[in-house]
Amino acid sequence: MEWRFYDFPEGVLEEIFSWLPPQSLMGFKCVCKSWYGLIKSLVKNPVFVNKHLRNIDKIFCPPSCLVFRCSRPGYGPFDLLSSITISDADYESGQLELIIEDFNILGILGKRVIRVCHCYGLVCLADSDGTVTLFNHAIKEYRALPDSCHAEDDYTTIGVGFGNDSKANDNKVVKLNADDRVCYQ
Amino acid sequence: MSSSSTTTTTTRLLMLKASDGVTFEVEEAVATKLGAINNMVEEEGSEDLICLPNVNGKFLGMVLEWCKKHANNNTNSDKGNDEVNKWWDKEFVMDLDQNTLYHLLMAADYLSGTELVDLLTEKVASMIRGKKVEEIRETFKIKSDFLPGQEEEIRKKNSWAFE
Repeated sequence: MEWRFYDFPEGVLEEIFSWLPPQSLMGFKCVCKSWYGLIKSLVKNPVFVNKHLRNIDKIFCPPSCLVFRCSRPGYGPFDLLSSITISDADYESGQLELIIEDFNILGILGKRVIRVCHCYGLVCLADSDGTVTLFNHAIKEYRALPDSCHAEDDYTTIGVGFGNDSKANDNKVVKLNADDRVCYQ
Repeated sequence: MSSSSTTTTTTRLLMLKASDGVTFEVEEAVATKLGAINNMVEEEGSEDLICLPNVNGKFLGMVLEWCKKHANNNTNSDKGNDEVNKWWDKEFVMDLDQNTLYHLLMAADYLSGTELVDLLTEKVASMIRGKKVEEIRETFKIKSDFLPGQEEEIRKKNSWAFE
């Protein structure tokens, strides 16, 4: 009998996808409609995301990524970000790969950001209106966070912090507003 | 009174019957590495014959070979054994042809052999990662069912993944 990938149930495909590097995973959205739908929903599924992080750490040397600001004439201080990822691209030969990528944040968001912090491959961008956008560096997707549940109309955002809460296994954004009150999101 | 495995010192043997009638006599500790068997043993208690209508003898034999190796190593777990296990696993999947890999993975999934599913799905992933979409379709006989223009749009949105 011929082996056909189509015959795998969704649960098995999910397990296979959890071992794929982000680039292959996102590229395989183009294979067929069912893969497109499955991958699109998996990258938003925290259970899959955690499994993926764990598996990728097991087979590749965990990629280390540095994000820093670039200053270039004509651009504001946070308009351009650059990242350097050091990863074990070919784990059988043990070759290390260095990937340098530039991100034009002004171009992506269409507005200037005033604060940038990052953690676990996610870059947290805050603009002067207090809007916080998370940018997933591995799959090049970004998402604006909803407004904080605390009333903050009268305050200006002066600082934003971003970190991982290992107890809740989630990332948290902390906003610091002008009159010393702290808003959590 | 029904016999209980906790009062006997000898290892309990289970009889597993595959879809093609082939039977395997295995120690309980080996067979219960598989979640599905473990559940059946816990539910049915004294039943020693377990029928598995969805797995044929060839692949059930391979799954049990893996279980046996890993059940033995569980008894004296040290770092050295971990390494031995890893090497053994590597050899186990190294020369599997696509057909065997497919059926073995389906069997492992059906029997809820989580660690074996991990090993086999990693193997499949290693065969497809970095491949072009066209290669994936060709290798796995998948036909694109996108409407004209849809695929180009997805490619455009994820252009970095195709560089």
